[in-house]
Amino acid sequence: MTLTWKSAVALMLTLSATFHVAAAQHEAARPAERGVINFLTPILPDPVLQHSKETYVLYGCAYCHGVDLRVRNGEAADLLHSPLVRADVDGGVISHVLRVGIPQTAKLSPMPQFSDLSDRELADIARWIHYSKGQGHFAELMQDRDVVVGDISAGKAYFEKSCSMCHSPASIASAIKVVKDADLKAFIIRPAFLQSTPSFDVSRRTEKAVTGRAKHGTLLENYTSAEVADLLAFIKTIK
Amino acid sequence: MILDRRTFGKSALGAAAGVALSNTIASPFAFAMAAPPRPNSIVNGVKIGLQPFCYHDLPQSDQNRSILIQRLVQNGLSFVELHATWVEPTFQLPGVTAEAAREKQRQWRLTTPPSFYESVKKEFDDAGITIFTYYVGFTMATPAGEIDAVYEAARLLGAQGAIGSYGLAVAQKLVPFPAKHNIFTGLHNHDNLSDPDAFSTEETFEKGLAMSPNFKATLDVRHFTAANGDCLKFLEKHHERVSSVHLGDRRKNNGRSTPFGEGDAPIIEILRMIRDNQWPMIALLEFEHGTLRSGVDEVQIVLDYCKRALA
Ligand code: HEC
Ligand code: HEC
Repeated sequence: MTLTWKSAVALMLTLSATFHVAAAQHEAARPAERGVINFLTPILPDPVLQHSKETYVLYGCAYCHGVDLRVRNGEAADLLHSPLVRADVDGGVISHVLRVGIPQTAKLSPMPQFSDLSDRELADIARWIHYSKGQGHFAELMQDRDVVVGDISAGKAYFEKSCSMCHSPASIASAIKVVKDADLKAFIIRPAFLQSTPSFDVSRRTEKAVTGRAKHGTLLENYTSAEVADLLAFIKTIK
Repeated sequence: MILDRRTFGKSALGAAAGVALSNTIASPFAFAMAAPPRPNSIVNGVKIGLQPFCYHDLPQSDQNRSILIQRLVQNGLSFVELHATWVEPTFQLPGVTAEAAREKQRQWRLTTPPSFYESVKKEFDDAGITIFTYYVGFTMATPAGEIDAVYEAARLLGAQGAIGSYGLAVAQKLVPFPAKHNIFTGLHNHDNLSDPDAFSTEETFEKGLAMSPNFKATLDVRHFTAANGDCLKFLEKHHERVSSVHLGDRRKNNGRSTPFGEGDAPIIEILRMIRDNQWPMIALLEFEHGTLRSGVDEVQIVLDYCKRALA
């Protein structure tokens, strides 16, 4: 998806208003931490992803936004819950923000521009943000265990809208046959192939594999708790 | 721990290699024998210190203060600008609201006895490190009593000034405090040109400095450069009112932070200007550029860059 200049700016403005309050609490908003941290470990099995992480660290993003998108510098935007990151699918929105920075702001220290970075570097940084957002959001979704009671018919409708172009209920039913109920949520929202290292073997880079991975990445980043609860309620009925 | 001859020998080797020892040696006797070298970061008359958030891999907390001191010694840095988060307990704990944490912090500041700050000062004194300034942020909502307590804390820590990130309106509120505690107030700029209250340009500094003779500029050369200011001209004109520079690199036009020498800030020229005019201002290393190295290694590279500039 491409976002127009204007809508990107509109999003930014909405956000700066939201975060203005947080800036005033700069002093108090610090997590308790002891000892030394390492932004680079654990070294990921996928070298492309590891390189993306290192690019994100090297340009200082990690210092303000946190390598895992948990804000380190009190003023920085929360990228884990940012509507701008949510609106970005192919790196276009994030790259645009990085090229221009956010000079108009109530923050003490505006978000700088990174206009001299190459397209590759920007793409690497966006890749890391999306991966990290997926991991962070996965952790959040796994935490709100059983809080929301799912609605079967809403789950069916969600499946038809978001999954059925690639999966039939029957194929999902057979995939989950051996999965224990306790593991079902994780299995559905973060299928194992999403954690595997992508292959560069051209014969295996089929359209289905590539779009499926991209689609599941986006789903993982953006599922709401209610969507997950509904989807699970529905999938349990077809198991 | 009791040291026998063998472990002492090892420790002494460790000291020679610049390894911090205070973890492994608990007895004062042993420490006296294997004391690490005192840091000295005065280079050709120019005092160089550190804003220690530069150790990006070391979260700023009171619990990490002892590691901070070890690292400063390891890098040979004898001056520091100490942020309050290295001194005060952490109040923002999981499950505590920001308001509740702020209230606890306020109470803590109002009730902590002088002996606490004196003991913190002693930790730095013992390692040969001078706390040049104490860095605390204030807002329009900070009560006068709390500001007063923080300024007294700064004095007790041996700091020459209290500094923080705030704009003109908060600075006006601070006017009564520096003289009362016999320290200065440091005004620190960012590069926010969209906020008329923010310190960002020469003009905004002039407004702030006019408020009190006890106000001094902490010229952040990174942000001044990013705000398209001319650091050399500023220093030439205002050096008598400048207590320190935050020395680091950024690109102009709100550009990113870069390793020293890759941005638009005239770092070498600034250092030589301080040296050749024998200005008393201190150069506090401060950077936000990312690195794949450890904090200690990155600080050393930056410090060596400055040493070369001053050679
Ligand atoms: C010096 C601290 C700092 C650094 C370094 C930094 N940012 Fe930011 N970033 C901020 C602040 C502060 C904001 C919020 C700006 C505002 O709201 O005015 C922000 C906002 C953003 C936003 C917009 C998010 C939203 O929802 O509005 C994105 C995306 C972003 N940063 C990505 C990055 C990336 C990627 C990097 C590294 C290339 C980076 N930032 C480096 C401080 C920083
Ligand atoms: C764009 C296509 C696409 C969409 C849309 C899609 N998936 Fe997938 N899904 C894939 C691909 C590709 C795989 C990898 C395994 C495979 O080839 O079947 C996969 C794997 C899975 C797996 C793991 C199966 C196994 O055998 O390990 C589950 C569970 C799953 N998807 C559920 C869903 C659900 C639920 C939705 C909707 C919320 C959804 N998928 C939407 C393409 C898609």
